[in-house]
Amino acid sequence: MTPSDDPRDDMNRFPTSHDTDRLLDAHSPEQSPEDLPDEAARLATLLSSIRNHVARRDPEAEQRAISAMAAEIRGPSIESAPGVSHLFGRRVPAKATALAVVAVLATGTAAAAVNGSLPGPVQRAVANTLSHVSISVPNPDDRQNIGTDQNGAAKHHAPGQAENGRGNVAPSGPVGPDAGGAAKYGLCTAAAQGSAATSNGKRSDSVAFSNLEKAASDAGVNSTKFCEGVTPHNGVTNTTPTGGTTLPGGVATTTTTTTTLPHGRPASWPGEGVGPTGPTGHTQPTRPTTPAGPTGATGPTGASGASGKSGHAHPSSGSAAAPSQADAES
Amino acid sequence: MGTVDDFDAVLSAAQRGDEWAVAILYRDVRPRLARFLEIREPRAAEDLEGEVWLAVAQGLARFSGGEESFRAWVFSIARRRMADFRRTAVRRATFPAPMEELDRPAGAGPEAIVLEDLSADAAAEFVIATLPPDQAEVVLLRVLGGLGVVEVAEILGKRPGTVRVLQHRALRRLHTALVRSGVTR
Repeated sequence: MTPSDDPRDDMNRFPTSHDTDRLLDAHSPEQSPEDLPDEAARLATLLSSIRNHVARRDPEAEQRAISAMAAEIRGPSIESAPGVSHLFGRRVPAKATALAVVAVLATGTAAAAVNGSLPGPVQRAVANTLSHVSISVPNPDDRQNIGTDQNGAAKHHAPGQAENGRGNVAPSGPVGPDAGGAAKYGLCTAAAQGSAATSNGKRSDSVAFSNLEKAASDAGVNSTKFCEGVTPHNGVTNTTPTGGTTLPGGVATTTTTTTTLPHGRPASWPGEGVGPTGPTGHTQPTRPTTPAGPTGATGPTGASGASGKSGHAHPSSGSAAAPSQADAES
Repeated sequence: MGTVDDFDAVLSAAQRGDEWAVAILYRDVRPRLARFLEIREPRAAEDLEGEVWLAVAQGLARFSGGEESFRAWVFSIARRRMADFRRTAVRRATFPAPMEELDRPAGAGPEAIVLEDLSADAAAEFVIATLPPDQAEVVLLRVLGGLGVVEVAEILGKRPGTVRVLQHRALRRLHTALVRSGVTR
C-alpha cells in the first residue's frame, strides 16, 4: 500500500475529514468561510458552481405532477398509467397499443378490415385493436343478425337474408336458372323428356321449371311453344359443343359431341380414344360389359361430369347469404 | 437533517393519496432530483424525472423509513433509470451532440478554467473527468442531491465509512488537479 492510499494518512492532510464534510455539506460552505483553510477556496468555488445550478421549475407542471401522483397512489391502474406518465413527461405505456396499431395499419389487413372482408376471428381481432384508437371497422360480433340503417337505428334481418353491400336486403333462397337465357336449351330439353317429376321432387316444385313456365308466360306462349326450335326430338341428332382438348402439339381444338338422346349405355371409355371424356371429374366410369354402343353419353349431361368439380357450393341455390353468415357464425 | 415536519404523518397521508402530503414530499426532493438529473443527463432529464416520480407513486405504499431514507430511495430509482437510459442510448445512439460542444475548442482542459465563470455543467464535467466513477458519484450525489453520507451509502449500497473515504479522496484529487492546472478563482 502506498502512503497516498492509506486512509489514515489521507485524513491528516488537506482536505481533512472536517474540511471534506464542510465542503460537501448541503449548505454552502461560503456561508461560513472562516471554517475553511485558504487552500480550500478553489474547491469551494468549484463545488458551489455545481450546487448553485438551479433546476428548471414550472409551477403548473409541478402541480399537475403532484395531482397525477396522488391519483396514481389512490387508484393505480393500467388504464391510468399513460396519462400519469405523460404528465410526468414520458409516454412509455402507450407503446404496446401503438405497436399493435402500426402493425395492423402497416399491412394490407387494414383495408380488408374496413371492408369487413376478413375471416371472422381476424376481423374481430382487428376491430377490437383499432377500436382502442377510435378507428371503427366492422365487427362480426356487432352484426350477427343485426344491422344498422343509415339513421343509426338497429334493424334485424330475418334468417336467410343478407345485406348485399349497398344496404339492401337481398332475397334469399334458390333463384334457379334463367329460362329465357343460357339455360333455355337445357330446361327445354329436360322438359321434353315428358317426366312429370324431377329427380328430387315434383316438377311443379322445381324452381327451374317454374322459371321456364314463367319465361314462357312472359313470352305469351306455353312452355311447349316456348321450346319449339330448341327442344330436341327423340332420335333427332343434335350437335352441341362440349369442351376442348389440347393436342400434344399445343394446338387447342374444340370438339363436338354427337348426342343421340339416351337409348343405349355409355360406351366411351377413357383411354380407348372413343369420344371425348369431358369434364367428368374423379368419378370412374364403370367399364361396360356389353359391346360398345352409341358414343358421347359421357358429355356434359352425365352425372359424373356434373360432380367432377363438385365439393363446392353451387353458385345458385341461395348462396347469396353465405359470406355474411359465415362471418356472423365465426 | 430533516426538512419535513412530522415526516411520518406526512408519509402516511401521502401513502393514502392525500394530495397535500404528496406535495410536501415532492417539493422537498424535486429541486435536488431535478438538479441532479439535469447535470448528469441533461438531454433526458425531464423524461427521466417523469419516470422517477411515476415509480415513486407506484411504490410509495410499500415504502417504510424516515426522511433520509425516502430521499435515498428516490435517488436510487433515479440512478437506476439513468443507467437504463444510458444503456438504451448507447444502443440507439440517436442523440446528436449539442452545437456548443462542437464549437468548443479541442483540448480545453482545467488550465482554461476560470472558476468564477464556470457553469454548473462545466464544473460537473470537470469533476467527472478528473475523478474515478465511484468518487465522482459520491461527490455529485452529495453536492447535487444535497444528500448526507448515510443516504449516499444507502443509495450506493456501501458502508458510510467507505463513502467517507471515497469523498475524502475525491476532494484531495480535485484539489491537486486544480492546483496543478493553475486554475484561478
